[in-house]
Amino acid sequence: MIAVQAEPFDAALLLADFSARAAGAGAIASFTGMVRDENDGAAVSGLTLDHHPRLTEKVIAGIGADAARRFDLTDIMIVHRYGAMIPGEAIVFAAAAAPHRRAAFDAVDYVMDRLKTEAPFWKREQRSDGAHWLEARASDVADRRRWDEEQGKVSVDFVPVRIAVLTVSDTRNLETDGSGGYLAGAVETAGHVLAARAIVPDDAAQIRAAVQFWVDDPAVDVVITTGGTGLTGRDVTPEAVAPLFDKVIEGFAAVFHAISFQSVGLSTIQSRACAGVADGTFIFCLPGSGGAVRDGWEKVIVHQLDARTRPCNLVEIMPRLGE
Amino acid sequence: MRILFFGRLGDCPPAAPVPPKVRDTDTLRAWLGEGRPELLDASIRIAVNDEMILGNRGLDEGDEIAFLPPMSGG
Repeated sequence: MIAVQAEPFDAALLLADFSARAAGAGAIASFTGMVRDENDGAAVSGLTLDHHPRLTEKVIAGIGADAARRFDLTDIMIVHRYGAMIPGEAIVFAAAAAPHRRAAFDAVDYVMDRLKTEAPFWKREQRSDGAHWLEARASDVADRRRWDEEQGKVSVDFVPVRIAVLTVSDTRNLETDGSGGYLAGAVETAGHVLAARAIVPDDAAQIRAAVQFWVDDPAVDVVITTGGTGLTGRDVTPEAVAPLFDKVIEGFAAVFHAISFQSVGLSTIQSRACAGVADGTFIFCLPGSGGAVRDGWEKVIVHQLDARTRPCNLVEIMPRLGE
Repeated sequence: MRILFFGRLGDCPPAAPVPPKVRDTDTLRAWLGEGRPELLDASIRIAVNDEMILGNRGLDEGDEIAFLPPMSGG
């Protein structure tokens, strides 16, 4: 059960209600978040929580569904308040029921870490030294990342990553963009998430701005571009993207050419396909032709973006890119 | 078009009517950002019709666009 409400609630009653509903589960864990009475050494007299009337509930429902799936829960409850409240009142209640205690503990911990950083709420504290908008602390973001890292380490299962696809072309649009359309479909067929898709002309400033936007977006793990890697005057994708790289993945170009040579022979030297890491985001620049994009995705990228690939793959090192 | 601001962004009054040249979220952000540069910050996310978007998104007359500063739930 997910609820976003203005009315105060009694956490003990919610827990009793949840326990009755979850009867038969081996373990129930719950967490209650309260309005604090001091922050940064100043007394807090009240808190106002701004929220989005529909998006907030949608995001919380998504977090609840993720927790239920990830920890194999038998039931989950999240109740979150918005509006004005005073110290000592409960803001949020989360409870999880599972066959065993570890899953129940972890699920509640996971739900709270994600709520702190992803749920559309904005807190304004009324303190003795004035009103203050609060934002997620660095420690909240680090807590949230813990779950990504843990998933990478303990699991040998497939881990979906969030991939943005950028087509670089003066002439194509979404209807005629075969290579971008192929990549968008292939990303999802492989089990990954298509985080975004866009088309920009062969213009270095526009290409760089689009890639930079996704590098800055914490919800994008990988950017794949197609087009603009050739040698003609309009081909500027490598020039546009390379300055963003903290590290160049030289081996990608070498392997891509070796594979592409099997398809197109020596013509492969006309492509300047490249890859690198920019601020923790993987970037691959593929040629625009359909065959080259398929070679790049099916024979190289899809395998390295699969957490099951041994002896090592790009997904398992993602949590360490920012070290 | 309906434009909503949340959290600390809501402290400023809403913008004037949207000019006809604004047909996507990038141009909307740039247009609003002329008067409110804080909207250009990469930490400000955008939702269109209750869906968080990444990158640019085309806009229609009836769309609702929300500007979302970094969140602080729990």
